[in-house]
Amino acid sequence: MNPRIRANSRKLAVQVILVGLLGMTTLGSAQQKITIVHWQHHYAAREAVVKQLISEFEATHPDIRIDFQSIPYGDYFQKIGPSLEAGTGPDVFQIPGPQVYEFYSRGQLAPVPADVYATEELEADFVPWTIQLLKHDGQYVGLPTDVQLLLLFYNDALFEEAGLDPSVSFASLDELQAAASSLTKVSGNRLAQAGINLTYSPYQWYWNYLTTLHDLGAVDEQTLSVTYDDASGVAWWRWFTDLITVHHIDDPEFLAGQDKFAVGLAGMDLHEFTYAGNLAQLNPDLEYSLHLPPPAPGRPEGAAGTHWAYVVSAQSPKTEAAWEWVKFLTSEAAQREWVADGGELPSRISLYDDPELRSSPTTAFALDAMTKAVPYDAIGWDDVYAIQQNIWETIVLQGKDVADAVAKGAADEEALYREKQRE
Amino acid sequence: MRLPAKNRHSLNRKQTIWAYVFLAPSLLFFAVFVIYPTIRSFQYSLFDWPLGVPQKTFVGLENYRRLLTDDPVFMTSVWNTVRFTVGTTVPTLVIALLLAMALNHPQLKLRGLFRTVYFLPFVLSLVAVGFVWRWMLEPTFGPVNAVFRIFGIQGPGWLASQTWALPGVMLMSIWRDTGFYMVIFLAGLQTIPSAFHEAAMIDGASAWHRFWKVTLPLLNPTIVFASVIAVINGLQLYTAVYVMTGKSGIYGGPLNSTRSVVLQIVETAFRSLNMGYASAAVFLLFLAILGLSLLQIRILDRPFEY
Repeated sequence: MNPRIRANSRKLAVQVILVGLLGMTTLGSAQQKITIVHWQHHYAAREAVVKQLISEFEATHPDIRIDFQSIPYGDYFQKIGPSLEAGTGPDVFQIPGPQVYEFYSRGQLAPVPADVYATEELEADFVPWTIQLLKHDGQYVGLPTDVQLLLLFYNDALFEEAGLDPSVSFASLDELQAAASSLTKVSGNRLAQAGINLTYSPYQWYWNYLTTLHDLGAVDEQTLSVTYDDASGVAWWRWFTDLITVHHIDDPEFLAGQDKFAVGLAGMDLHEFTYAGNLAQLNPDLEYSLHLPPPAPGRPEGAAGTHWAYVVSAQSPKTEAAWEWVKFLTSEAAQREWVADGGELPSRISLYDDPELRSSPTTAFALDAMTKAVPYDAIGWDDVYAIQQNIWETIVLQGKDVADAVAKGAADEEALYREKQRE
Repeated sequence: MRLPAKNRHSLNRKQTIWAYVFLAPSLLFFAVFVIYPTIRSFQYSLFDWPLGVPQKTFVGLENYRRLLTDDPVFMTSVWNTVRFTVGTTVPTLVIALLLAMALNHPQLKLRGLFRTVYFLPFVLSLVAVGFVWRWMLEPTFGPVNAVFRIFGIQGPGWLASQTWALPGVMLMSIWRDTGFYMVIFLAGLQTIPSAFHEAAMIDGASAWHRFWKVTLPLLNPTIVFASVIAVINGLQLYTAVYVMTGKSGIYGGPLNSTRSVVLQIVETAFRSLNMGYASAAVFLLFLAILGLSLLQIRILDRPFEY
């Protein structure tokens, strides 16, 4: 062989080996990097916060990469169930607090490892009601996110126009109904202004009052029976549906599917705290006041709170890294971002007296109100809501007897729980 | 030239083989994505199988018994789906045929523009159309009821009303799909040789007789095709209901008045996670579509020659 060709061949061989070695090294380091697949349902503000937190987490954890997917709410649960069944699910995902027990009982959740977060430390860090639904068999299987409190929003201008003081909270349901009637306007035979934006999104009323009517909450976890099918529950459902059928403070056909409060055509609304952020976008000129909803007769002042949970799949081969990521997502620094940009309330006790957060009067009010919160504790989410909505619609749209409708709804809800327990 | 019988058979066999070769990709696709899932769906339907539970319990035809005799919500969804299918198929096809005949008239000016305008709704996203119609049907300020008010009529509650919600969804569906079937009928009308009409006119047939005795019989294959497709689409009602009646995670309301079979299947499978029960409903829907399609072909199909 020509010496020159031989020399070139050697040079080429050395180059190939070097490139190969370099490639293998690079591949090796890429293989060492742990990828955590994170799913949550889409909400633009929350998506932005997660992306920001990912960049911060990856900067301090160079060996972990977060593969984040924000899935439309309508598709979210359709993907989670089958993907976990097929073994192709995410490592970290988000589920409503009331559904944590369901996933746990199916063996789909990994508990928080003690070396990542010791139970005593965890319980000292978080507001008790925000982790109440996350502890099963003595161990935590999720950390809280998207903490919300149900608050009564008043439209200040409409209150003043009706001769009502928007700074005063109602002491009773009767006071609330009287004010709602004053705020209602009729033009001819049609509603022109609703006293309460009730028909647009009534579930907040179910969640708040079915939870706060009894010390046990909405459901007795021992017997899996609902608590609202007693005399006080029926009385509340009667009061609630009378708002439409007797007092006509709203009408299902008035601005159907439209947010009447946001457009200034409803005097009041019961909504999650995050609604304040929605109003800032939908109607920045709207001036409103926040109040705790009045208690049901004989009950203490308070409001229901809701939250979701970040959980780790029991199938994940990287539970330690996944929990590190979840711990970061719910850390004090991260919660500041969640509050500022994600429209949620903090679950960490250390943030309740934080002057920075309290500089916003809206947040300060909600933080004070959080001390009177109890968690909405039905064992389910949209499935339970569908049953409660059925009670409302059979009374309001079909004119069914309140006691009968409540009894049927309670039976359906308990049947659902029995079915879930069977699973 | 006439080939010997042996060569003719050999040629036929070769042609047959080539036909199968060309059909193979679509047959394979059909087998993998239609036949196989259908068989598996039937298999699953014989089990009690909540997702997340490792073991499935064989229950035979129990899921079918529960669906047909013990599940009022499923039966409501069947009734709604039947009402929707009948209530959209008949008017859609009749309006589409009338439009096609009008737009097929050689003396009509701007035919191309009209065809495009009528077809346009069909190419729009059903989700976008659904949201627009949701707003149009709003009882207080929606434009549909505003038109009623011009004539002194109080419009219905549409999607907020248990009685009018399904007709509201039907109205949107008829508006959207008419253009599609119009194009199908136009294509069918243009395959009818003009000589038949000319001969009928020479014989003194009126416009009605020419339509009834010439156009309609010769359009039969197109009518069969369009009606089979329309019924299948009607039975698969889902997206329109999902978009137009969805409210904070609840669909098919108020009070299940717009709940369709497919919506019920999706919720049973993915909200209740009851795969066996949902599979039984899927298989029943498959049988209904198959049976109705065969029935339509048997009733409507007429042999013709020209």
